[in-house]
Amino acid sequence: MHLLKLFRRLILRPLAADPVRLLLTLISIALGVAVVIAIELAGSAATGSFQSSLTTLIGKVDYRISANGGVDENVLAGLSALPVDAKFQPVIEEPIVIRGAGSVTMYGVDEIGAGLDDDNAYARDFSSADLETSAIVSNELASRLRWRVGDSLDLRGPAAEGRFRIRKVTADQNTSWVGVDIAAAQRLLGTYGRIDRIDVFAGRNENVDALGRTIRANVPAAYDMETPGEQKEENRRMLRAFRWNLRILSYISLVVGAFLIYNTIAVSVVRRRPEIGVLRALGTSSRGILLMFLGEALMLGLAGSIAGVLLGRVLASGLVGMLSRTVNALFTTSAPGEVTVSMLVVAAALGIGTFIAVVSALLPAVEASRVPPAEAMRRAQREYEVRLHASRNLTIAAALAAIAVVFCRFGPVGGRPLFGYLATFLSIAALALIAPAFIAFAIRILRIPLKRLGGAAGIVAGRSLVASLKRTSVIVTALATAIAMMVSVGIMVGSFRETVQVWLSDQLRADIYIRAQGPGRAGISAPIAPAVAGIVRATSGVDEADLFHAFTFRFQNQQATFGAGDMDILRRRRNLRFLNGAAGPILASLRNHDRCIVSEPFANKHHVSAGDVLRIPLGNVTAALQVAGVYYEYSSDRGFVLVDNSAVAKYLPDTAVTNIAIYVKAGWNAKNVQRALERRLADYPLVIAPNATLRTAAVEIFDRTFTITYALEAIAIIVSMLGAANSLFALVLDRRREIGLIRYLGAAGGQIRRMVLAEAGLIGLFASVLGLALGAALSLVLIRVVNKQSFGWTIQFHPPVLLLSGALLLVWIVTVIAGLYPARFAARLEPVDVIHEE
Amino acid sequence: MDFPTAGWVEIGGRRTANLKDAELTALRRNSIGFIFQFFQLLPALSALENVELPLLLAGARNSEAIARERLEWVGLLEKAESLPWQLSGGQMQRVAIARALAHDPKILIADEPTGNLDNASGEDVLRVIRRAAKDFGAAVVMATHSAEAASIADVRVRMRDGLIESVEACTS
Repeated sequence: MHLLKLFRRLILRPLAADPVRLLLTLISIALGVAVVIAIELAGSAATGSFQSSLTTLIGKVDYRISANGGVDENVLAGLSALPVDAKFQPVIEEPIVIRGAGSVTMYGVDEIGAGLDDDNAYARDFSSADLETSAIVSNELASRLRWRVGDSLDLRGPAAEGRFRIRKVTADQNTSWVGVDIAAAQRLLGTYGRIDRIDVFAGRNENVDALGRTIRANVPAAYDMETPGEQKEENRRMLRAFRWNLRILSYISLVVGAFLIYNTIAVSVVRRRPEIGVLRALGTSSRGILLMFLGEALMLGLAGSIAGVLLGRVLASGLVGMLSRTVNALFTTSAPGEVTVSMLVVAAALGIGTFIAVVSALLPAVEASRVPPAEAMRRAQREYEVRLHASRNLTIAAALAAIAVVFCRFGPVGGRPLFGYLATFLSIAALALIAPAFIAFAIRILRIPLKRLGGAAGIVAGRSLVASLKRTSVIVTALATAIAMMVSVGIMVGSFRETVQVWLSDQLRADIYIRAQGPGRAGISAPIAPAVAGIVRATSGVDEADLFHAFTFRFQNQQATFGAGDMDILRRRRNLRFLNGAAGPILASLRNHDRCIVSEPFANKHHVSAGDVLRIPLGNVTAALQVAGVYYEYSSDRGFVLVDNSAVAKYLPDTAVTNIAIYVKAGWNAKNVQRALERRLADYPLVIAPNATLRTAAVEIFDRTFTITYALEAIAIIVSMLGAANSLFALVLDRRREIGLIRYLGAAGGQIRRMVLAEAGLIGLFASVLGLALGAALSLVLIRVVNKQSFGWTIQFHPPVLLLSGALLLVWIVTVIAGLYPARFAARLEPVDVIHEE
Repeated sequence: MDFPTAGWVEIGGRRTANLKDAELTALRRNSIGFIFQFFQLLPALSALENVELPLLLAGARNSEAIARERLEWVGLLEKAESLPWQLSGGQMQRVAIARALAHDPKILIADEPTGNLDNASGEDVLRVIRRAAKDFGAAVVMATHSAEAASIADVRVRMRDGLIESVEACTS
């Protein structure tokens, strides 16, 4: 009981007396926790809802049957004849253009609306004459376009156009889609006889496992069959590396926050040393003191975490859109789900935040508990006698760095670069150990220039930083960690961007590109109408056209892209680079053979190398394709398997063309040819773009992918800025007496202000130097270990020097700005009050 | 540093109450040296740097050479690089006197300069203060409870509860 009273008097009262510092500390913890929780929530919202829209439309699915190149409708007929209690629902899922309203996902299903929970009789309301022209739209789409039941809409497919009447607007959908009858969908797409997949619903009395075995025996071996749970799991696996990398970045923000909690508690211990001494002299146990300071950390951690959870929930809503755009562009189709805050996530966030706060406070709290009672009698001189355990700390730092280097050589664990992450955190720990010695050393070196440049302010600023080395080094480490994160990610993204641009200029050699309108899925465009290729080739000025076919397929339970193009054109026109061997002979060997080439991420992910044979189901058969080579590729980490068009003609003659690359005849103006194409293809919903547009779009997708990364970095920097302001303020408060004295000795207010600003500037400088060094090292870990193991691509090292120097300068300026308030406070201290406080 | 509640303070013919903050700062910087009971050395600075500080604040040339001179004058040149906590009380006060004299002040204000020292160190410090008045031509104003300290003064003003009891000139 008496401990509580003491806690109130010794901890709470001083905290309340210092609301600015209290607020700064709480904000830093809250931001750290908020970032972690926002990434978690937004991540699961962006991955967790692959099925939601369709479930509303047709109900809960037990099995899903699909095949590379589409499912033959005859298979459906065969299944329907089986003596089982189950319903087989054919499904088409393709992007479609709505005239005047852009592109959305179209679902084509049988007996449309049968699964709508609130209206089971709904399907029967359609007369068969109406069925072909009826549509259901999601409430999201309806409200965006102000549609109501009874309104008409025009759908434009690659093969045909049609007018539909809206019969129903669904509830609780947060994506844009339109549902039509399957026959109508086939008519629009021109895919008679083929469907995308068959969804199976087991009847009430049917044994689901037995049903699965029966179906398996009645579909071609090359067909794929899975449960929705398996598919969700697969999606989760695919996004795992992506989410883990974001997660680790968010944890680094929390580490920055941890340094600041350590700092806050350390300051509160230093400041209350005499009080602790008195308490000890009056009989408080050292355990009591320890508990009091841990209590302070617990309280700060809990309060900050609660604020963090609330803030994180808000941030998450903002991030979901960003994340799902990236997921859609790079991985797979996903409709962002609702951001749901489960009790588990809340509890975990509160637990982590509080735990980190208490752990960070452990060291200073133990120190407080060891204050000898006699301390009360003495003026706290101790901090100035802090011995630098320089050699010991540097040895430990070297050992940690060595372990980190060894860790970088280890392979991934379950597809995750766990050892790479560990190496990152070990490096940060090593930095924390190096920081004090580095600062002491740097100040010694800078002694003369500081005096020359700053006079008294320079000398006192430098010396004060060394005098309160413990605290200075914590804040420098926190800031340096944030800067290192910025620098390393900056170098990684910059290198990646440069690598991609070089690669793009090697790859995008055609003059004009054609694809279907609409966003496409996972980088694969919608099918182009078959007639288009002929029209293109007949257009004057066109030298040759490469017809490219792409579709998603599954290999070893992971999604990848299967592509087919004209390898002869590719060999002559594009500059494909292979890990092994020259492009010419490899590409020439593909035509009319069961051979393929695979992208680097595919090879890494599936441990495939040249000479291996891949067994890939194509249509009703399984093809054995020999790998002729592994090529550098940076458009998607899903991985590519590329074959010549001759192989597609052999296995999947019905496969639709998804992209056309057009090379213009020498001497012809590409712009004029493009205009001619646009005129001749006006009836088809196509995007006809020149080379430059495509290149810009690719770089845009790239930049968008890393927007979140930048946002995370900005937050880490903000957290450490708050910390810098907080620490400087504490430093000023603790040196009130000295500042008063310097005023006595003839310092003007401006000189005091300059002194504090010089301290801020030095902290920023040291943090920048350390952050730059650590950042450069971490960027190597990111490029060579984390990225390579997560996504499987080789990135050339291209540090964006100009951008980085700009960013560092900005951070430095902001640190000095963070010193403005403490500096003004210091300059306004009344010398006589301060010196008489004795 | 402080303003009188009644009456006025005049230094070099100027009333301090009429001076602006910048002028007061200049006055402290150029004309006044302070010696405190608790020495008030900056713990983070070496002895030499402590002495040099007022010169640097005033932007003086040759600040380091002057500071060395003053340290030599109080007999502590060999302790120039020592930090305050490495010095004894008497040594610290001598460094403080060297600092107070760094910029050749016209007035040296000493507040209980021996109050925190043992007898031997106290006597030592008093000798240095007396010498300061002679060598630097500064007027020393010293507040003290110690009769021994007061005995070195040329003019003694005895005060009780804020009122002047007596003023006596001594010939010593």
